[in-house]
Amino acid sequence: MIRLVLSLFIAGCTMLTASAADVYKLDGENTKIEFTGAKKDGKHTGGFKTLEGTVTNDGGWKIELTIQTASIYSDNPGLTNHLKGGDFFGVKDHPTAKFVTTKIEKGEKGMTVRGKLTMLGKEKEISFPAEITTGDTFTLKAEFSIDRTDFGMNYAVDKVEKSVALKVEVKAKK
Amino acid sequence: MILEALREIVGPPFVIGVLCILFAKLLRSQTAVPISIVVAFAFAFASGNYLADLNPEWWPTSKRATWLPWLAVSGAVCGLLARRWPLLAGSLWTCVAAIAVVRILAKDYYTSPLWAVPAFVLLPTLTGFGLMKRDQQKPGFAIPLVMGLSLIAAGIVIIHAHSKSLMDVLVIGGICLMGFALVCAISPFETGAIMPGASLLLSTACFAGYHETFSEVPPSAFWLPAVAPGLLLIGFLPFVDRLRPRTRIAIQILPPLIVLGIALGLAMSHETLTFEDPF
Repeated sequence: MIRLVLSLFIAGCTMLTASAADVYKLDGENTKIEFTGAKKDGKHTGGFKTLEGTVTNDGGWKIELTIQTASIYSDNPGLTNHLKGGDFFGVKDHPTAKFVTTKIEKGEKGMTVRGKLTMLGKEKEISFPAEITTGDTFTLKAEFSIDRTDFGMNYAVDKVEKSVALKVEVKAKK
Repeated sequence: MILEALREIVGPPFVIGVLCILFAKLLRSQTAVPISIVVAFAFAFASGNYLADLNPEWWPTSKRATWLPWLAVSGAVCGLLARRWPLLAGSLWTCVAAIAVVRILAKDYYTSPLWAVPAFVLLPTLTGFGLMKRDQQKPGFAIPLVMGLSLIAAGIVIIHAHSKSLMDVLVIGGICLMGFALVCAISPFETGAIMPGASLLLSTACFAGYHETFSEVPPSAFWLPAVAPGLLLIGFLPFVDRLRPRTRIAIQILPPLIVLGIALGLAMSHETLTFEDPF
């Protein structure tokens, strides 16, 4: 009986240690999401200041991220207000954007992250190459593009490019 | 940028408005003119969509700006039906207003403040059908002119609040009405059928502009253009109605023009409009 209790206790401790060890909290400080939008005669950069999420390893790696769209910023204050409005993110009606991975696997170069991105109430499966390291610190670096019209962001498609370049950098400690 | 706006947003609705009316007048049929103004309104939005890609999907999406032309044209159809089939027009208008509440009014306003939904429905109903009735009594250029200017002024307020899609829709509707006003000034005809649709476009766009934009433009600048055309209804007052035509028109259009001027002044004094379009 004592053996059973002890082994259950040890197993419980091991499970707790494993789950605690494999959770990384994401926030606006350790996770940078920046975008570059291009138009015919130039481009603009920006990003999101407030976000939260987790990276977990429960047999497989999983990333869950919620972005507060109202925290958007750009290199032009007028543009920031325009981006918050209904022409682009409509942050009053769609205050969050979400990304949840469905699979992280080895790709040709580094890893390939697959997941569902939800913006403006529309969900779309996306995938992108990423450099990932794990240990005490989880790091992820990725540069890829998404088509904004996939999410119903159809403003001025003839003037502003549909493709938006994204740069993601994560450096989260356990 | 200005030439582009003239080519895509301003020019086509004006030409469409003028040509449709002239064509209808050539037909010399009583029903041709009311039908043609509603058709012109629909073609004006279609031209804007085709030339300026306002909504590549054409059908309404989750964006408010994509619903506005559909609501405006549906409202205009109600105006068209109202004279001969008032019950049918009333039922259709109820459906259109309900869709406007669901798709344009944000859910936060369904319960608080309590007057939000009634005001959102009653303002375009009273203004639109009131102006339609007034136009039946005294057809002329004053009503389409003021409604057109109100739509354009609302568009200017909203572009100061950084929403180009909403401005484009408003300007297309406003310019089309200016085309009607021009023909009407030369040879008066009834434009009343368009008023419920135009009024619905104006109030829904003003709400959308107020709700979904981020700027220093004060809330009053958004609702002043929405109420401005309603001031034309002072024409129903007997002492105004009895005045000589020129004096009556001047007294009717002056209050809405002052209100529109105040709205533009408020928007312009709180936000600067740059012709360098960031996006």
